[in-house]
Amino acid sequence: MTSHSSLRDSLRFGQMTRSESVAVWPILLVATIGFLTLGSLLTLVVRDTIDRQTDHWIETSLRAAATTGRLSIESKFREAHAIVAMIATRLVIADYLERSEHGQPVAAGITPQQDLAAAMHSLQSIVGISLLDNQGVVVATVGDIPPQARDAFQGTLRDTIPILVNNSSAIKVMAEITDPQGAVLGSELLYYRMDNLNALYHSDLGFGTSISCRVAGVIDGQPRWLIPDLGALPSEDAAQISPLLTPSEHRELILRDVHGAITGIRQGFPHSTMVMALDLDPTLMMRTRIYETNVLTGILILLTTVGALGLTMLLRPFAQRMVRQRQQLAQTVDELRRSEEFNRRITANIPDRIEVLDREGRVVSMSEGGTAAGEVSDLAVRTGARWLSFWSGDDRDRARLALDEARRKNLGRFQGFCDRGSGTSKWWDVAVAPILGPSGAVEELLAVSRDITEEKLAEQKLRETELRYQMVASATNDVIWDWMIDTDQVWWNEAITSQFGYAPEAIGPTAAWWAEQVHPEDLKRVRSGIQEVIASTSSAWRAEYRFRRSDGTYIYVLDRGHVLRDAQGRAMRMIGALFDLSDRRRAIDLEARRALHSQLRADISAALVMAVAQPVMLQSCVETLVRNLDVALARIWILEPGSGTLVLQASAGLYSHLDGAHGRIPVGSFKIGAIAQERTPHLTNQVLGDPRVPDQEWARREHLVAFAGYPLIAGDTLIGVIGMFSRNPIESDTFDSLSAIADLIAQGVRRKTLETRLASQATVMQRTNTELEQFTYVASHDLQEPLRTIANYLALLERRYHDTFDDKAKRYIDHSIEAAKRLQALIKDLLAFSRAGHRESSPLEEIPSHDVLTEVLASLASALSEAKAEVLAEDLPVVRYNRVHLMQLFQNLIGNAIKYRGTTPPRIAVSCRDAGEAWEFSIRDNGIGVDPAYAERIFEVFQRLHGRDQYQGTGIGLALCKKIADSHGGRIWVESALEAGAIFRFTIPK
Amino acid sequence: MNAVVLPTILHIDDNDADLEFTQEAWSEYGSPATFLVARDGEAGISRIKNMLAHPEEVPDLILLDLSLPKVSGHDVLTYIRHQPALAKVPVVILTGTPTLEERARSLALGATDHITKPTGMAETVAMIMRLKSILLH
Repeated sequence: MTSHSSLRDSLRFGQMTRSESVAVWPILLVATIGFLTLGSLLTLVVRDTIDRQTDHWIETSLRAAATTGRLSIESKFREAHAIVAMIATRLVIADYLERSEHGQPVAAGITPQQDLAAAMHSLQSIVGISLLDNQGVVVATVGDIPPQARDAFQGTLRDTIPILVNNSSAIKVMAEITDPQGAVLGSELLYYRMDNLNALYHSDLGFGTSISCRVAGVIDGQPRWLIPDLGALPSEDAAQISPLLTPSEHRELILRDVHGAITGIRQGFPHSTMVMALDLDPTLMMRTRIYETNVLTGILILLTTVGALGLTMLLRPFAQRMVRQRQQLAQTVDELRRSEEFNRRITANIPDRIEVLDREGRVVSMSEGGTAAGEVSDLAVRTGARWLSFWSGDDRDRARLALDEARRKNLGRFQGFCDRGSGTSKWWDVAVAPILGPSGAVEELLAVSRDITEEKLAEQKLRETELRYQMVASATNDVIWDWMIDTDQVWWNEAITSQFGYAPEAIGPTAAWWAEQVHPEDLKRVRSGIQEVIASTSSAWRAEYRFRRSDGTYIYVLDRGHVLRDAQGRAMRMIGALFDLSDRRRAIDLEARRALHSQLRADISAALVMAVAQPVMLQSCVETLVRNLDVALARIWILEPGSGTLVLQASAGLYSHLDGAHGRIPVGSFKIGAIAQERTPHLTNQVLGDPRVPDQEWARREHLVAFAGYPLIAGDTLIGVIGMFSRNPIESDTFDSLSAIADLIAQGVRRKTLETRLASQATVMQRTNTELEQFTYVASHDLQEPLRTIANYLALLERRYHDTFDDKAKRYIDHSIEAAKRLQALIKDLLAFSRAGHRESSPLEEIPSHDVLTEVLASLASALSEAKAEVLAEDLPVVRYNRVHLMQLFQNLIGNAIKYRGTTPPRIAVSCRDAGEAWEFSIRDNGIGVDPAYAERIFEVFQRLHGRDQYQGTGIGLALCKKIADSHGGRIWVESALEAGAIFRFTIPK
Repeated sequence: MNAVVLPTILHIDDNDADLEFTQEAWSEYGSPATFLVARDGEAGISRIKNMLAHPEEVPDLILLDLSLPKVSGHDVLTYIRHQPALAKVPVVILTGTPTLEERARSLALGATDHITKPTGMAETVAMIMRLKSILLH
């Protein structure tokens, strides 16, 4: 009993409906979702707690950093495996280096080493510090840096990315943010947290890696987030983090992310130093375990679910197959029934007579519709009757033939008149087809007869009107034609003879004759037009084409036709008339040629301004001529300067080679040389017989009819010759257009020649300039060394043998030292001058120009006080310029104002005004001024207006200023009169 | 009886005039010291190798030109900085053509200082002062 019931149960289970099976799923689903949600929530809570703890820690340490100006590292941070690397900006470093280079006091500290040592002292936990610039270059190192970290630091030299070293808890680096003056602004901290970093580094799994990186900073004493979450940055790399990457690939992506973040921050705070912390999370293992528990629960639930689902799937197909078979049976029966009924209904409503005959030709059955159409009242009368007996006379023979055809398994067709039966006499269109049995033999015949009585009557009416057409047609001068479409018979009126010269016997009877007379190029178009109108329902047709007359010449005709259709809309016949269009056509041709010529001129003009070499440009011209003007050969010769020879530079059409007999033609020789010599065009439409075309045989062979040759003349200068051969006569207006085109080409060639010359001069100039700059640079370097030796040894000589030398000897040595120093100053200035033009070595930045002026005044302090000079400076704007260049401008111009002072103490005013697109700086003094006659010359190299004994200097200062101003797209000039002070002005584009 | 041990300075430079001038200037303004010279990078390295074999010969200061024949100054510097025995020896770059890039590179490679060769007495005195402070540090 038990086995029975369980079997029944399983069968029922197999036939279970959809709603029953679905009832189980929600429970499983809810359970699964519940478990998973619970696990995820648990994970989230743990993660959130950790996040809040780290947030709190960052807040605390940043607040501490803000108040002390130093960054403290708390114990929690030390416990985590972490690295903090300091990245100093290149600006700060460069500033330091430059200052120490010039022997000036360094604002930020004494040396980077001392700076770092002080930092170390302030925080006992720091073991070692390395200072890197933002190019990743280690500038200074203090303390013990473990070898692995040292390698990493070295690595940054190549990679230019920040470093990340695992398990290097010994390295603690810290820094503070200073502005360029060395004042402490605060600290910055980049906090970088990676979930599952252990998995990332200690296994190849790396699953579920999510990265969170936040950048915090203390700016002006206030801690704040600079980037809340690196994940929110538009970084493709962050999105690419996936478990499929190897740990080392992960590491590279992370490093690039950090680098990107730093670069971003740098743009906002270029003068700050940055601290970056990379933190390995110590609670990682706990979170991993929670995650794994979640996964285990999920898998168990999944297995149960899959088991239940599998059983259902196993049993369902049996039940489904049974149902399907029963349905198919019912469907087949139903279809059969419907098909019979369908056939009956169709034939009932077809007006045609549909009769089934046996092999002997006796009527077996007849359709209902056919009974009505044939007006057969008594079906029984016809059933069993011989079908042939319905037809009489010739029609009976045709019917017999059709039956025979059908018996041979073909389709028999005929049209017949049937006046038998009780009804009206009718025309029938009959088709007899075989009905084949299963064996393929003809068992019965099917006769389908369509009533065509109306059509037949219409056709008869049409025939009657034909005579009238012919009578009208003979009375006109126009060429009239009449085409019976079904029989392809064409009738022409007498005008075909009078107008086109065809004798009646020469005219073919079909449309094919007409087609022969249509110009081959037009035939396809005209034919498709006719076919189109026949296929459509419209009746009007027209076409213009070339029609050949009996003398072989073509004339343009307008052909207008009319389609006649039968009752069914079939085109039966076309009647039309041809008009001679020659006169009208000529006018249209002229207009078309004008349009063509103006287009041609535009094309040639376009070809002439192409930025290509001259031969390419000319080739493009001749190809345009050949393509658009139906020219057989077009060539351009250009006069070679000096030799008096025309050189073929472009050829298109029959020949495209440039060498050969006509490659070089002396002016005066052949027709081309003659055109050049006489400077007049040579135009002919009768090449054959032209004495200037010596190769008559060639011209005949190539069917060349016309030649047009023009001298290319620009201004008064002969530039070359253009020559063209054509197979068709050239119209006079075309000659005119070609003449204009020849002028265009002549001007184009001249312009191209000038451009080429200009371009090559510019290249030479550019090269000379570059070479000169390189020479100056190298020479300056190499000259420094022997000079240094001379100056040093002279100084040594003076010191060592001071007592031995007499006054004269000492004076000689003084002179020598003086000369060496002057030469050195000269070289130094020259070097500065040669480097001033290098834009790539002088980066632009936003500079407060007032600060630069202050610096320059500080460096000139001794000279200013010695001269008792007074400097008045207005507030100056922030400009986008190269810092060193702006310094050099101020230094030289203010230096000059001091140097060329008059008898009263110098008063120097520095101001700046907004001149729209640029800032205009002015340095005004009350010195000796500049003679306006020399206002330009003073900006040239080595131009001195005064003797050296009077005013010191190398004569390079103002030239350097001009070069700097020019290289930034600005200007420098002087406004002055002798003894009236000077105003030097320069502009800095905004 | 203890002999006074003079500090040893190794000067690597291909310019004889500069070598002699530095020694003269040192004797004029510096403190007594023993000068050793090498005239190209290769000679400099082989000299340093000999010194490593005899620890008592390790110099107290190395002066290094950058543009040297055979082996460049930066390569010599890299070699020196890979010798643990020389970790505490200051290396000062003396160069005739100063650029910021070279300076940054020298410091990055572990140079103690980077000084432009002096011209004239004032600059010479400044250089000697700087070298003395490094030597005594």
